Amino acid sequence: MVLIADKSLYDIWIRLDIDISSLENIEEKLGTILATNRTTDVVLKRIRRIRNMTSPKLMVWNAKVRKDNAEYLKILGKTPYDLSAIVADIESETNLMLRVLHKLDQGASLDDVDLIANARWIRQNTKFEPIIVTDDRDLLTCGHSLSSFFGLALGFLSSFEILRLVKLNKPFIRYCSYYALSTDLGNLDDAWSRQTLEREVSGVMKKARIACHPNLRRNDSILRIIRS
Amino acid sequence: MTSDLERVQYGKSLNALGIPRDKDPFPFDAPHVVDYWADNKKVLQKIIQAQIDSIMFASSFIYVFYGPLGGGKTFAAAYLANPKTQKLILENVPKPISESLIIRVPAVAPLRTGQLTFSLHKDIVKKCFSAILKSEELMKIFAKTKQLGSGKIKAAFKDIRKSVMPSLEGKLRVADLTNLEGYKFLTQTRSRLGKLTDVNELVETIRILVSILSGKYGRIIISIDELENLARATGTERVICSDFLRKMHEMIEHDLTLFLIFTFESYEEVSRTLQPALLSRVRESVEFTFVQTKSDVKEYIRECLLLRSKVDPKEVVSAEVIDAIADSLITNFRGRLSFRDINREMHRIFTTTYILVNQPSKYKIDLKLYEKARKGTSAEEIVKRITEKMSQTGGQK
Repeated sequence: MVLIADKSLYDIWIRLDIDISSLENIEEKLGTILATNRTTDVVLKRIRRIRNMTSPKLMVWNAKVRKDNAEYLKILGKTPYDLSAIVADIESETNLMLRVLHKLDQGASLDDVDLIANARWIRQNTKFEPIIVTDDRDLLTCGHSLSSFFGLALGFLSSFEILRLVKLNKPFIRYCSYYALSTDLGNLDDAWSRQTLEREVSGVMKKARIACHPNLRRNDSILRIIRS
Repeated sequence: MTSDLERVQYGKSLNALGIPRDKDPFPFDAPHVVDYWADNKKVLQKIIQAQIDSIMFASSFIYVFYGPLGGGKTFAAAYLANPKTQKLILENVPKPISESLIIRVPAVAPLRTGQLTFSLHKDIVKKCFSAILKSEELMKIFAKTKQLGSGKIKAAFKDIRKSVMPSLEGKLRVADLTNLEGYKFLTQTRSRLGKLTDVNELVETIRILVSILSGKYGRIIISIDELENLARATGTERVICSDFLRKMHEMIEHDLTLFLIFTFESYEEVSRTLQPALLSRVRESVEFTFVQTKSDVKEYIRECLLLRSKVDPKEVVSAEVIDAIADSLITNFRGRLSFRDINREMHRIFTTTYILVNQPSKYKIDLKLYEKARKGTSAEEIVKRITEKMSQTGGQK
């Protein structure tokens, strides 16, 4: 099994100041963490921008992201195809998926779809079973339906689930303490007028509009309740 | 040495045996100043050859020392660092060249990823600066040099250079170096100048320092001890460290020799720990093996007494005792005898015999005394004595 890391994963680990040894513990128990080229670029840029990061920590995370990218390239390199051809192939698949998705929702993210395209390629061309690890709400809520929409069977896990699976107690506690419900629901809680509440709920809905799973209740239903 | 009392007894036994206390022939840890070499001539030949190569050729080299705990690796590095050894080598080398500067740094067991490499860098930078500050000649070179890198690194070096000023005696010095923003920057501490952002910058700081040091020294030798700690570090740490060492070799093309010291029993363990890109740059690996033969043990004991303590071995221990010690060690350790084990055994023998002969002002260890000491300290003997005492007390009751 291999774990394809989303940029959000690195964000949260850096913010929580968790040591790389915990990530390597995950790798030992679950599977190698891979960083796609796009994720690597984005994360390296983001790390450089973090102002309060100490010099050693910056270098360590740089090295970790590069190492994960090297692992990703190593897996691609094991296949009989040319590396540049593989990258081009994945890119064209990403664009195709995006084109379809944009018809449903203009807000579909290129980075998220790139992860799915990479996972699909690895699943079809190597012996590895990929799982996408992300803390991005869009991917976590829509990933499964999106991948099933394209006829794939990919796994999506959050940091929370990974930490629970690997039984890393300290990072798990830190992770749980980091998230507070008040931050997520704060906007809704502060919305006193019906209009603002409607706007906030609509915003939340929009975020998940791409998850057009038949089992889900219709998006409008809650808004209708608010309006009535 | 386990306790202060033992240490005192051992010191007294050395005096009584006619050995100067400051020249312990069997030190427990590798001494800082090593001006002798006992036994292991093949290894000596290899490390001297490495040193000669370093002197004869300008390019940078990497050597790996590996072997079991107490096998003499740190001792070898200290031996090479000694000015007497360097003088001896220089006398026999055809090329006229100045002495070398040896920087010895330990690789700490990392509690967090990156700690090992960054502490290595910090220690090397600190020791380079300390060497520069100690020498008037190097201070002048530092004050004049134009090659101070670029960007923030250049700014950091310039910041330090700004503080170079003559003291009342007329010597150049830097006041309060550790609090200078430039020094803080170069040692990865929070600084107003910013922060070092990658391994290339870490190496660049060392490159500049080495270029300053090479103005006086013919060769800069960096000996990194306890690198076996890398085996317990995270994969990322190993990548960073290998990258750091490889780039040091690549970016500092001349005048640098790296000795990487590992307490590993095989080269496979070394190759598992370092990245292939670094391993391919290793010029030679020197293996420090266990002591295998009785004659090696005897030679080692005799040479330690003669070369380190400058005493005649015959006046301290009789030849039969050395023979008996060698015999017992080789039998007991079954091919896994290290020099540290011999040192430990000699400590025990010196202390026990000294107590057995009632702590005299002068004595010599003969076979009879040695046999008595050997028997007296065996666990079997102690158990026998305890049982005897217990049965006596039981009978009385």
